[in-house]
Amino acid sequence: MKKSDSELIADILEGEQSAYEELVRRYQSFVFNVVYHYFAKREDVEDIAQEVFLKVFQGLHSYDADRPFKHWLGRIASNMCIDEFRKRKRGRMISLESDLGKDEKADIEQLYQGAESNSFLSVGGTEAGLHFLKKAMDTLSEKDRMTYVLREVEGLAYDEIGSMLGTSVVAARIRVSRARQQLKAKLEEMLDV
Amino acid sequence: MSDRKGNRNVEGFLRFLSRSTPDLEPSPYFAARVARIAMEKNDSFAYFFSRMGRWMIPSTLAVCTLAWILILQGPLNSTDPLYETELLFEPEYASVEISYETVLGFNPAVLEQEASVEGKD
Repeated sequence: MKKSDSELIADILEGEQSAYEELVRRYQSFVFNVVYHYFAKREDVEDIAQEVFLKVFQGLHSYDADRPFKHWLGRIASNMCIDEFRKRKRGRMISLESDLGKDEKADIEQLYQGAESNSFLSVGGTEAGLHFLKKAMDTLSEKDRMTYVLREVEGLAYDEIGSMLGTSVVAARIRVSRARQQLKAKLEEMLDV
Repeated sequence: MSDRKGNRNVEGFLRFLSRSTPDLEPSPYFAARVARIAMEKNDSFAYFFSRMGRWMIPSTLAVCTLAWILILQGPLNSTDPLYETELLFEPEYASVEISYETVLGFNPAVLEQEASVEGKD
């Protein structure tokens, strides 16, 4: 029978390594995907995800079992992503136009045409879309970006996002809406709308 | 993704882009590796001190307060004769004659004088 998160945490606190392994396995995809929208390199994503889980382990004794574990984990992951991203971003101006080549612009146009006609998407096209999305998200503030990723990419509810990021539901909605508007403006620029 | 007038539905395309991003799957050994590192760290001295760090400041403060109570409020600052640390009597320094004899045991001037008298003889 599958153990609940709280049961696993109780086992971990008694020193059971396999319980922690199980807990990491349960949430590793979630953490990887959140981090992936901040950092391009797989090694970076893996390193930061590892740091997140180590920090979670160190703080397990102070975890409040009344709160869902995923929310607590999400908060640690988002804080770590934002901190690390700020460190790396410092002193570097980001220009979407200069970072996207002509080929990539063509890829996005092609992707749009494909999406419009519901045709089968090529892997290259999807990668170009992801690449564009990341570049466009670089222009958002760190918190807006995290809120957008949790809502639009991970598909979480606003109250979950609020709990993870320590903000109200209304604030989360505002952040997502603002991020959406900014990304839309960038996309319109790219597609010459 | 265009409306009847042919306007492009950019918002829909953005939503499509966001939802269709490929997942990054962790390596199959990721969970085992993280669990092992976490447990190793847990056993290390550094981890012990990092865990104890939060208790270091309050415990140091408690020790300092206790020391302050004992030293300043206790034996060293008490009027209780038990802890009396003042000298019971003070020597009368004014009565002590400080001279070459009392310090050196001889007076060089006297010695010189005696030597000169012996020389004359």
